[in-house]
Amino acid sequence: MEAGIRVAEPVAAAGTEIVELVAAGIHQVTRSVATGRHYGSGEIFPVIPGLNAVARTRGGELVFTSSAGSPPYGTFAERIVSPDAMRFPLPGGARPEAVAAGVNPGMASWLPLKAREAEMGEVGRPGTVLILGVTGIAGFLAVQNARLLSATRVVGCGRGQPGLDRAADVGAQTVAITGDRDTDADALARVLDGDTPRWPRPTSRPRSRSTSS
Amino acid sequence: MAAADIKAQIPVYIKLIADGAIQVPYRTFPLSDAGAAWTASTESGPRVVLVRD
Repeated sequence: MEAGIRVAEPVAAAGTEIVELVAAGIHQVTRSVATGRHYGSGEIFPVIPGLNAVARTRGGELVFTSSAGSPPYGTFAERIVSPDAMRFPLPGGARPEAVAAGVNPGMASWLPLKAREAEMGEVGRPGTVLILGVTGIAGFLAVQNARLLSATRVVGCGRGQPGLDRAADVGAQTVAITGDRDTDADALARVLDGDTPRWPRPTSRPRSRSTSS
Repeated sequence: MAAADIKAQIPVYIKLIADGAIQVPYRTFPLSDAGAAWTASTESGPRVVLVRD
């Protein structure tokens, strides 16, 4: 990052409020957007990275917020433009750093698991959940999410023993990926009792994607 | 999943973290040391979090 670049103070527009940074996670998507490799990147540089954060409002309330700032304004700054529609109060006792760290990578699996839960109707719980890339933070949170949603079995694969051990500690059966296709396929099949992943057949019709009425 | 449904899940997930139902490993860096934090975020392990100085 080039030193000495200064930007003007962010200004709140209608439907937004200026909030003060408390904690902001550096997520993979944040890096991709900031470096112009993500479709959501404005490709306007220099840029203040950061897509969301925990912040304090002028009233003193701790909130989780996305950024409403047009480039170059992101959340890695002392003051953030927070949209009213995407500002969520933190419950009492919440650790801001944990919320800032966990919401983004955690929602990456929480949302599809909740969607799957809805698809399953009265059965209501995901059966076997296979997590590819379980050694990263998103994979680690995915194991916990699947367990919380009562998955009957959680299998995670990835490279790197420390990450595999972490995943096992929170309830995953783990498979160390070697890079050899046949070896890895056999190892996965063994853990899945020979039941290879397949496209699931919902017991009820998926809900409509449309919200208009 | 509709946008409204996604938005509705954000406070649900925040509460899970707040209640300790989800363990989130993280390490913090001061905002004034964002460069070091950015470099550290390329490594695997706890999520890097910037905090106000």
